[in-house]
This record gives sequence, structure tokens and C-alpha cells, in this order.
Amino acid sequence: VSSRLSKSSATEVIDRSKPIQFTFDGKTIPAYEGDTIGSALAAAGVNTISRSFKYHRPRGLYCLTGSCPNCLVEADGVPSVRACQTACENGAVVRSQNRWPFLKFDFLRIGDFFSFLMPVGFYYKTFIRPRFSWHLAEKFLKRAAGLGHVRPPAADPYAKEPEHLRGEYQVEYRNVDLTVVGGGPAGLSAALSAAQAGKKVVLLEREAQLGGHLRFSTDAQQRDTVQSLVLQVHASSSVEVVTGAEAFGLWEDNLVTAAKGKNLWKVRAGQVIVATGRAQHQLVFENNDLPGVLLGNAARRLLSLYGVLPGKRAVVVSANPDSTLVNELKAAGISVAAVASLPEQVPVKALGFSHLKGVVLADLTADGKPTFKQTYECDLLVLDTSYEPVASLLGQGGCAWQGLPGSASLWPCRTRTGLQAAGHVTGLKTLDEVLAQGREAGQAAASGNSIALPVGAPADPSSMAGMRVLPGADGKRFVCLCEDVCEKDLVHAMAEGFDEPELLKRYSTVSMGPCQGKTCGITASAICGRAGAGQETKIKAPTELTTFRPPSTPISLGVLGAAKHHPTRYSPLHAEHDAEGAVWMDMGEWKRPLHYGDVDAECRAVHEAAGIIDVGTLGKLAVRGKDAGALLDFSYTHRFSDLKPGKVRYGLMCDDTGTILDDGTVSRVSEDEFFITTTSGNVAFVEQWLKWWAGVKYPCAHVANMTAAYGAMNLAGPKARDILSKLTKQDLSNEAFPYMAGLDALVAGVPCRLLRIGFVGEMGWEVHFPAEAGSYLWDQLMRAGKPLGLKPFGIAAQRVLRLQKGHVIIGVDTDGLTTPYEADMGWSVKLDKPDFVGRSRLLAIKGAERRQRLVAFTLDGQNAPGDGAAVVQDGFPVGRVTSARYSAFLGKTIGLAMVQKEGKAEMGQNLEIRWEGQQVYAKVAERPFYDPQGARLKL
Amino acid sequence: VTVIQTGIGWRSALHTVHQELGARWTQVAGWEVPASYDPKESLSAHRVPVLADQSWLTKIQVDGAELQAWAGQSGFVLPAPGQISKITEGKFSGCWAYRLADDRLWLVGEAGDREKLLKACAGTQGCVHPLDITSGLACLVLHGSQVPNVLAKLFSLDVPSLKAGQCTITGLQGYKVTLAVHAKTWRLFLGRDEARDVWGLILHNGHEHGITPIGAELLSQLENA
Repeated sequence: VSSRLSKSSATEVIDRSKPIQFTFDGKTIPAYEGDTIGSALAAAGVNTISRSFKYHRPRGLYCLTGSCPNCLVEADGVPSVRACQTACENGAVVRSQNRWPFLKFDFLRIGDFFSFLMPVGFYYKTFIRPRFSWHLAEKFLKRAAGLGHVRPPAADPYAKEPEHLRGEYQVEYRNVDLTVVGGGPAGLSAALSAAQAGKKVVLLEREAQLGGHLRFSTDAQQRDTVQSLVLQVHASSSVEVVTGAEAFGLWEDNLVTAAKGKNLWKVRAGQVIVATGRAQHQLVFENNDLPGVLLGNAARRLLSLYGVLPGKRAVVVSANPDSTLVNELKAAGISVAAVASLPEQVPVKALGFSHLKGVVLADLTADGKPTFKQTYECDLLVLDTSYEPVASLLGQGGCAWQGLPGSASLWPCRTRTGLQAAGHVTGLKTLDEVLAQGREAGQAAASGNSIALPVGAPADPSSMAGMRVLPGADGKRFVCLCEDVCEKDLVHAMAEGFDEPELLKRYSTVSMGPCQGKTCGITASAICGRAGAGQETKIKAPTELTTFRPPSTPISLGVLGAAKHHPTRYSPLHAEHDAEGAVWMDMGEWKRPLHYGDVDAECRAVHEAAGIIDVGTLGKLAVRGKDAGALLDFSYTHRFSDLKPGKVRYGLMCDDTGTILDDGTVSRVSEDEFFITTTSGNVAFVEQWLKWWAGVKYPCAHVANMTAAYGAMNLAGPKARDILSKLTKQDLSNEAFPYMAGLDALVAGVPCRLLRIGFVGEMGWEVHFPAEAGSYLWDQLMRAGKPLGLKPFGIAAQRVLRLQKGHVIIGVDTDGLTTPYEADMGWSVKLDKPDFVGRSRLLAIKGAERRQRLVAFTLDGQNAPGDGAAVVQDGFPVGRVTSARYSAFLGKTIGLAMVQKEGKAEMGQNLEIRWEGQQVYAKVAERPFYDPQGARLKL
Repeated sequence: VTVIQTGIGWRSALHTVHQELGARWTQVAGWEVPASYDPKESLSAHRVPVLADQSWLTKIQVDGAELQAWAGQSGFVLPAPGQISKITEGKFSGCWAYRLADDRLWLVGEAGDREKLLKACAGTQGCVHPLDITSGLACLVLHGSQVPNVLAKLFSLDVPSLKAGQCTITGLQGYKVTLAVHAKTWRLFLGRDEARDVWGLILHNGHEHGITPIGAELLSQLENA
């Protein structure tokens, strides 16, 4: 049965000429354009929209401002969408969430009846012993509790698109003079006055229309006033209006982030004015969460904006003597069974199991005790309570709080420079006051100043709690609707010692749900403060609320991720690898060929003929100037100032604690120029590290990152010389070009830098070339090499080949604590140098017992342990496998493991290795596993 | 760094992108350059923002505390930090000077100027170090009145407030980019390895403004119009 009013009103936002429909749990729901999912469900008589987090109690519309968690649904596959704020889309598929098996009959509500088994601090008290019990319970609890599920799409609609185009989430940036958050009367007048002063303004409004609560005011003059402001704002070329944008974060330097659909808005401004208005606060009494219990403005919104009757027979609880709500309900045809005026008469219990059936009202004595109780049948209980500020952003901005006379809430009293509050959010009541304050705030922002806020008084937590928490102690009296936290839970938590707001929050989880305390934060603090009022305890009065953090409202991970484009880097040889049939892998930001189809054949080619691998991702730095040698001596553990031009030396870099940071090669190009390679992922760090020390100690040493300028290939294998000789006049003999030499030469007419080094254990040259010549040079090398058996090889083969040589990869075989001595690389530390980064520490630990050590091992068979597999001794982990691969060439599995000093890992001993349910015994071995004399490198 | 020999066909990082767009090729100082993609490309057809690859421009980075003195010896006046200017005198005449920091300058010239500029830099004395960074830097050029709106979607920087003659180093979706505002065009310099991704990002974010890739011929006409 439709609850839609037959006649439209002037305040409606729906278009009755445009009917649409969507499904909710499979049932077709009629709606109009302009409806939200929530208003359409209410119009269709759907009372229960969701189930609560813990007890699976039925929940329905409550606030209609997106503040509470009661209407979270899954819309078109997106979980935890607020139905009251989400516009209806024709054909949308909406599902209820957090219920099993059905919304109407949720078996998991059994938890509601056994809630005594789940006291506050449940997780801290239960499943401690035996230890495995938590793992058993965790899976069930994860399914039973929660806020919906992320459903992977059946098929990726963007699969054919480039990676960076996938998804529809985007970022919008704005840099303006003023950001106004809130499009109500204060926000509108602030934006207008700043614009009139010549300032550029962005106005963020979370709802689809500007005007705030005045859109549904019964006072036509007020509606006209705000409508006039709306028209002026839209007409102003200096104000950019962004509706449907939920501002959820206020960051350093006045950066405001807002979610608008699938767009993340990042607005930076000189000044921010928060004019987010006010909302009615909750009342705590028995069964206060039943569907049918609505805040007063929620009932007004349903009636005025969407033409929906929230119920047929209502009881109204009012804290506002001047309220017109009762008349509005009656005018719409709702029967009003009773009106309770706070604080003399209060609701003590809502009746009903799945929906409101009635209310018990009680008169209160002068000392607040309930006396006469009377039950009223109704299907609607309207809580027309007093107001609290919508102040999450102000809280994030470090606002201080105060009480106001007669108020049940806390209000902003002081804001930092560049941040102002204006309008109802400051506690003002009349429209004239609000408009004037908005205007003043806008003018102040335009001149770089701030307005002063009304002066209040210290908050009285007892009084505040008294106005929010009504008499009674029976049943479930919900404070936090998100996490199903009741008043008695908070009382018990405080009795257990968690009697400070921040502790209470963490222990009880109050205010930690999707609403982030918007519904319950002040109430919980007031309850906490009430308990400590008048006592000499550590309990604080609630003038200090718990910390506000962004996001203040639920937003999708897609929106957060919109700002994070994952950069992708391409080698100058990318197209050539594609043509060779490369299988790609992501390595940091780089795309690199993993293999070309047959890893064993690639390894064999390197050993028997020649292989070529793209190593252009290596970091490449040019260090120039008369201080260059001194800078490198200081930054690396090796000595480079005595390196002769045309020579290459291995370089290891440590920090001041002697921990390995990076490694690579250093070639001396000329007297005052060095060419450095670094690991692929560390080049930006090494560049900054060298620039830092150059700035501090070596002013005439300049570091330039040439990583993108040079491509690089490693040509390795017994035929490497023959292949390269076809393309260069440079003498490549051992005499003219020995191992660890580096020379510049033309290769196929391209000026290249050739380094004779051998990471993969065979004679070879690293060929560095101008990136624009990559395609040409690759083609020339392949033409010259293929007749001699040259094959491209990828990372998979390189990892096997380097492991055969026992070469360490920094960051793979070492961790963030490894020293050169632990990695068996003490030979690279030249302690006879006068000074270098890490020298004093390395001097101190040289010869001392090592915390851990890198050992090599072999294993029969092809079952290589995964990287990170545990090394176990007597049932306890004593280390980890850092790298292990099966080497077809050697016919066994080989690997490296970092073993702690407690572990026994002497030559020939067995290492017990466990991973993914498997257990093997490896034998500690000498490394390198291949060509220990290095003869192959010097062929 | 030696200038590579011409005549072999040097390729920018966007070579395959140009191929996929159906480029008609031409040669500029040894580089394979897309002259146009569409035979109908014309000045009148481009009322929308356009994007072009100009990675073959010669780029020399000059670092050092004695930069000011070096510029004086080379016969030109350094622009202020954050500014660009065309050099009209001295051995770098015809180049653009981008002053990125107190002690860092870029000289940006035509592709054919590479050898000339390096020769002019040779023999530099003192604590000043010129370095040819042409190979490592891609250059994307945008033209059109809607360009600030396209770039505003990509940068957190206040792009529309930048004026002609300014340059800045900033971040673009995870990349480090140098942005220079010329009278008619916007030039983005970034790592060659990043160019392919950023090209796609610009086209994607400029889609609503109708952004179109163009070849070197039309870009030249637009710059000289």
C-alpha cells in the first residue's frame, strides 16, 4: 500500500510525471525521479530496511540525513550505501545486507535473545583459551556481523581497456580562496559575500539541492529568502556549486576532501567556512531503535520533500515548545495519539518486535522519577528533540567545544586560523542571526580574518546526559546504533575502569561504526561525564570529545583509490619484448619480461651460447664534479676516489647503523665523473641520499638521475664477445677490456657505455645506450646474435642464474636490519677509510657475534620452498628462506636462507624448512653453486 | 654524453602509441616523428585542446652554484627561478631557458640543435655541470584554451593560475613533472619511461573537453599561427 500523499506540495523534490522503478530484495518498488531509495521504500510501505550490526535487530529510517547507519543497503553491487541519501536509479537492483537468510526473518537475530552472552568487551574476554577457539569463531563472527559484502563483478567490463582507464573513479582538483561546506542559509550567504568581495569560492553541499532545512520549512517567507540566495549563488560566476558532494575530511593547509558519486574532490583554499548546520539528537530509552521511531526532521523531510506519510498514527515527543510538527502531521492526515513534552513527560519504552506497535509514556516527578505510565498504540514515534551541531569537520580542524544555556549538546567555541564556523552549527537559532553570521564569516574570510563565535559556558555533562538518556534501566536502550552498544554496556565498561571517553570508545566500540559518532558521540561522552561529575576522579567532563578523524562518513574504497593512480613505467624495449612473446610481470612500477616461454631454455642459452636481458630498469645516476669521488667514498662502504677511469667496482651503501641500504656498480668515466647503477626500486632514494650528503659536505658534486635516459641490456654467455664484436670496433679481448672494466664505445653506430660485469655468472657486458636508440640496437644485437644461439631471457631465468652464483639481491636476501657482515659481504667494507656513513657502527660490530647470517643450501628434487619459508629448529622458527629456485642446469634446488644466531647452520648440516604445509630438509652448502673460481666470467 | 648519430631512426617513448594512431612519419634530426595522424587535421578543425609529442626537443640540464656567472660568460641573462625566457643573444641564442631552481637551468632547443648546444657547453669550467638529458625526458605539448581545465583534473597544483612565462616542478598522479607555460602552449616534461602512461592519462582526463592528439605539422602551425 502506497504511503504517498495524493497531492503534491510546493516543497516536493520528486517529479510525479516521471515514474521509475527499482527492485529491493527482488521486489519491485515504484518511485519517482527525485526520490531517494529510502523515501521510495517508505512510500512503498517498507519499514525494515536493514539489520543491525551485532544483534540483527530490524532497523528502518531514522534520521534521513545520512547520519545514522539504519538504512545502509547494497545498491547495484555497492555495499553500505545510505538509502536516505542515494537517488533512485531506474532499474537499480537494491538488496538489504547483514541478514541471513531474509530481511524479514533473520535467523541471526537469535543473538538478540542471547545478548547476555556477549557483554561489553566481548572480544577481549572470549576465545582466549584454548587459543584455536578464536580461529574457529572468527569465521563465523565475520559472516554474522558486518556491513555487507564486496561482490566481485562477474566479468571485468574494462578488461580490454588500458589499466589506467579501468574503473570510473576520478579526482577533481580545485584551488580557490574560500571553501564553504554546507549549502544552507549560512553557507549561501557566506559564499555570496565572499564572492562579492572578489573571491573565488567552492560551495560543497551533500544534498542534491541547495537550501538546507529551509527547503521544507512551513514558512513560505523563509523558503523565498533561501530561494533568492540560491538563485544569486547559481548566478555568481565566482562561486562553483558542487551538490551531492559529501565533505568527509579537513586536512592540513585547508584541504577539504569530498566524495561526489565516484569522484573524489580535493579542494584547497585559503579559508574554509563550515556551515554544516545542526541535527536533532537521539533519545535513549528501551527499544529506541525500532522501525517506526523517527527524528522530527526525518518525518518533515518525508512529508515535505517526498510526499510520503511516515505513519498513520503517531506519538510525538517534543523538546521544542514552538514546534509546528504536530500541526504538520495532522495536516497530512496522520492521527496524533499523544504529544509528550520533554522533560515533563518522556517515552520509557517502544513496543513491538519487528515494527513499532506502541509507546509507553511516563510523567516525571521533579527529581526525574517516572510516575504515571500510559501506553499508546501507534506506528510512528516522532522524536522532535533539540539540536546538536553537525560538526565532524570542525572537530577534524581542531575546534574547541563549549556548552550553551539550556542545550543538551556541545557547540564550537574556538577555531583555528583560516577555519570558521557559521550558522546553526554554532548554536544560533533564528534565520536572521544565521544569515547575518554567514555574511560576516564570508566577509571576514575575504579579508583573511575570522568572526568570533557566541560565548557559552562550560558544559554540564549531567544535565546533557539527563536530556538525552531518559529514565529507565530495562531492555535494550541503544546509544550507538552502528555497533549495537547500549547504555548499560557503557556503564559496565566504566565500572571495569574504562572511564575516560577515548578508552570507553575503544573498549565498547561506541561511535566506531559508519556514523563515526554523529548519532551517539556526544551522548556517550555525556554518559561518561555524568558518571564522573562531582567526583575527584580522572573522568573528564565531556567538553573534550573523542578525536575526530576523516573520513567522517562512509565512502567507497574506489573514491579513496581514485587519488592513487598506479604509475607504470615502460622500458625503451617494451615493444621488442612484446614481439618476442614476453610474459610480463609488474616489478615495482616497471613492466618487465618474466620469461619468453621456456625458462630452462633461456638459462641454457646463457650457459652455452648467449642470452640477453633488459636491465634498463636499473637505477642510473651521473655523479659529476671535483668532489664526486669524495662524495662516493663517504656514501659507500667501498673506496672510489682511487678507482681509475675505465674501471668498475661493486658498491654497497649502508646507513649510520650499518644496515644495508642499496648496492650497485660504480664506474669511473673520467677524473670528475662517475656512473652509478642502483637497484631498480631504490634509485629515487639513492639519488636523494647522495644529494643530501652532497649538499651537506660536498658542494661541488652534482647528482643527476639518468635512469630514463639510458636503456640497458646485459649480454651474457660464452658467445657474447663474438656477438658484440660484430657491432663494434672496440677491442673486447681480456687484455683490452678485462673483467670489471667500463668503456664508452660505438655499438652499431650508437654511443654506448659498456660495463664488463657478470651478475648471471657468465662472461658478458652490460650495454647502456641512449633510450631513443633502444629499438634499433636491440634489432641489431638480435640479428648479430641469433645465428650464434642468442636468446632473450627474463627475470625468472635471471633469478636462477644469479642464485647459482650466490649473488645477493638487496631487499630480497636482506631485510631492513641486515648488516654487510650478516650478508657475508664484509669484504666490501673498507674500514681503513677515514670516514663514511655507518663506519663507526660497522667498526663496532666487526668480529662480534652476528645476529643472523645468510647461508646457502641445496635440496634434492625440484620442489623449491617459497620465498619466506620458515627455517625451523626443534619446532621453533630460527630463520627464513630468502630465495630458492630449481636449477635445471645443476639438477637440484638451490637457495639462500637468513638464519638467526640461535639456529644451527654449519656446513653440511640439515636445515628443516616448512612452508604451506610442506616440510623438507635441505643441506647447508658452500656458495657459489656454479663456477666458484669465476673462470667463466673471464673467458 | 655524446650526440648519437643521425639517420638510424631514433624513437620517442610514444612510438608505438603513434603507430597505433596511424601516424604518417617524417624525420626530424634523426628522430622518427609523427607528422600527422589524420589527413583531415587542420587548424580550423582544432577548436579543442590538442596533445602532441615533442620528446625530440634537445634538453640540457645545467647544475651548479656558479650558474649565474656561467650564463654571463655564455652571453645571456638567466631568468628568475620559476620563470622561462627565450635566449636571444650569445652562444645559446634561439633556445629556451627554464630556471627550475637557483642552481638548476634547462636549455631547451630544437632537435637539430643538440650537437650545437653540446659543443657550446663543452669546456665549461668551475662548479657548473651541463648534462644532455634529451634521452631521458619526454616532452608532451598541449595547446588550446581548455588546456588549464584538462590539466586541473590531473594536478593538485592551481594550474589555471599559472601564467605564461612560468615553470614549476610538480606531481601528476604519482609522477614528477616539470610544467612550463609558453605563450600558446603548455609543455610537460617527464621521465621517458613514464610518458606512455601519462599520455593516456591526459587523453582520458581531457576526453570531456574533446582533446585530440595531433602530429608535428599541425602543432607547428598552431605554434606559429
